[in-house]
Amino acid sequence: MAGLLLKNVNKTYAGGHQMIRDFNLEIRGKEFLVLAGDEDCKKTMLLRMIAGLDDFTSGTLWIDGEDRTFAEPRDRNLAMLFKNAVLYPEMNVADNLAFALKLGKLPQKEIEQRVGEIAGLLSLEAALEKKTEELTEAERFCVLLGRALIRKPRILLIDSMLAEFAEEAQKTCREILLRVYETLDMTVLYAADRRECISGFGSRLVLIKDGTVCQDAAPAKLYERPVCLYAAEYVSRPPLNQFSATVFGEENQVGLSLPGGRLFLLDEHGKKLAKQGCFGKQVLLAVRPEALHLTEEKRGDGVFSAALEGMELYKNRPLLHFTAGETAGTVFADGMPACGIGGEICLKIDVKKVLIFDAETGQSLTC
Amino acid sequence: MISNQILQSNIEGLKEITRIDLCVCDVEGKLLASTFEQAEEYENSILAFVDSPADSQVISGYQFFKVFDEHQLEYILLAKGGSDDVYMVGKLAAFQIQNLLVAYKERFDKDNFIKNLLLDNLLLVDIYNRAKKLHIEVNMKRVVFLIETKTEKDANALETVRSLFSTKTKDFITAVDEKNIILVREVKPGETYEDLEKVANMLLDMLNTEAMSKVHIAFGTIVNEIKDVSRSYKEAKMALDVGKIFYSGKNVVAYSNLGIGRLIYQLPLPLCRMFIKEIFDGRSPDEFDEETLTTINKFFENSLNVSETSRQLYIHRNTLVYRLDKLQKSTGLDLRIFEDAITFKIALMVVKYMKYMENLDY
Repeated sequence: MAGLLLKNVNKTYAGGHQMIRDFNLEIRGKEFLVLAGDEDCKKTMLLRMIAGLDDFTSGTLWIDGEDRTFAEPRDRNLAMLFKNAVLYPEMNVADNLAFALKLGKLPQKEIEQRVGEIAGLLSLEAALEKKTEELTEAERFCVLLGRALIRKPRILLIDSMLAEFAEEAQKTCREILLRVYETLDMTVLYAADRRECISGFGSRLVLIKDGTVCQDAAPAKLYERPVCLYAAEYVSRPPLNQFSATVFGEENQVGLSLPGGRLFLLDEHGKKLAKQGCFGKQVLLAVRPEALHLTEEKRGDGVFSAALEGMELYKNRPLLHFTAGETAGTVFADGMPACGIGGEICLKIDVKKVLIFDAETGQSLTC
Repeated sequence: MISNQILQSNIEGLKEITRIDLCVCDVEGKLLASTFEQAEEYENSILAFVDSPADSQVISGYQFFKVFDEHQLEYILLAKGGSDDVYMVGKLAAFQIQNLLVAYKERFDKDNFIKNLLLDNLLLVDIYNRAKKLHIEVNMKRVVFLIETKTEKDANALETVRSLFSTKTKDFITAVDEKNIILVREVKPGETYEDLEKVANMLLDMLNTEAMSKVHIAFGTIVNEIKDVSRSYKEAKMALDVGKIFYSGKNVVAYSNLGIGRLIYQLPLPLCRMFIKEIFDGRSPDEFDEETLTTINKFFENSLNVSETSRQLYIHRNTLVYRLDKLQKSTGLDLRIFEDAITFKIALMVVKYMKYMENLDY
């Protein structure tokens, strides 16, 4: 396993366009880290910079306690798996795996030994003589992965490799990758595409926004305590329901007045808002679909009415679409309510699961 | 023509099958490849055999064979043993080496042909004659990819490209200098420039991850006849240069996608100097400090939107306005006005171009 340290890294193109801004990241020992966020090639740029394929404008990179800021890619003891990589046509699996080692002029015996080891690790023994056209999607991924692993890297950089795969293949390949990670002494940095489902993938999620770190935490923590609206939205599927609200205080309780209702907050949230002097402030109340539920109550704390617009199945669960004032949102249900589409439903907010953000800056006020 | 390594691996392979020792020497008796150790002792016998009219001979328990390349004696092959079997194996080995000579010669000839084609060293009639002789199709859609490596003589990069393409006889890979690999690739029916961009990106990723090489890749336009391949090459070269000047963040540049950069690249330098003098009145944009240049570029990136620019620069709106006013005082150009912004943007590009060309001269 390798330690990796990125310190105050910046990348600006000659035209002045800044891609990476004041980026700091530390990895100690073995970790499976997922890079997410910022869709316009910044994650790819970051991986390329770590690999030594693109230069830093400023900042430093340390691998295993040594300054590798200016080291050539082959001197960094890492391997890469980029999304446009292909298998060598006209070669079988064994030759594909051995290619880099042949380039490095390793002795034939050692090449054969390593190919055997990798084939065993990735269950490719039976496929070694197969040509690339004969492989399944998962097998192809295994060979690409094997080609990277055969170099015995300390760090493995993967760029959105699985984004284009079918859902089933994505799942299989992810399991293979995790199994390999558990077995080998290696750090993995995986840059995830927005289209990939990253829930439960990796022990640490680094969310990037505007070229810098927005939040760096375990996936569960990012889900429960996002530091900003961007982070909350990124990991929420279906999307967050967002309501404009104003903070008020009443008899030692802090609440939010919503269009069509009000909600008294938990003590800990109320105290935080009070401490930040938020009374009268416009905020965004974000509620995940699973934090709402249908209710028979017509009024009450956290209850509001909405118009039912439609229903869909989301991963085999009925998901209702509603509008309430300016908010268009969703809520999980057991089925179509009796009122039918166009009718009125009443919803209750689970106050324990709300997230509150500054309406102007998007920063969390309660996390 | 053939390397000793290839000769060695051939006779070793034959020995493994036939269990007969073999060795290959040149016409001066010098040992090139052998499967047994005493081969050097036969130098004198070899020289005598070379001078004799015989094609094969038995000397001291070894059978000697002559290997020709188009009537020219190239090698002497020795096979250990006097039996008929050894004779047959020796004849087979000689035949095999002869065919290897022909194949490598053709390959070398092809490589030679492509190099000369790219460099415009051939007359039109020669192009068609040689293409016919080398079985190269003349009317086929092709495009030239140019791969510039950061390090010189990057053998890993060359090997990676060969492994991706050259097993098909319709693609050619060559190099005309130590930092540039040229791929002349067949364009399949229905392939568009978007597909070619994907090929270039695939090459980029493969060279980055497998050969661990930093590269820039450019490609020219699709040509239908072999005589136009050199044009596609020149376009790829230009695209690489234009990319370096104006699109330094891109590793893949297409000639068909160069925009204003391509126009500016064609301008004569005296004309550029006149233009810059007119706009900046002797003052070079290099004299603007980094803060000013960053401000200007961010302003352009945000389509001349003052609020968004100031937000992204983390400065107050008034600070940005002050900087733009200052710029207007020194250049006469108000970047908030579209016409002035275009003029300034193009002037910046012309300056970049001039700097690049002036550095080339050194």
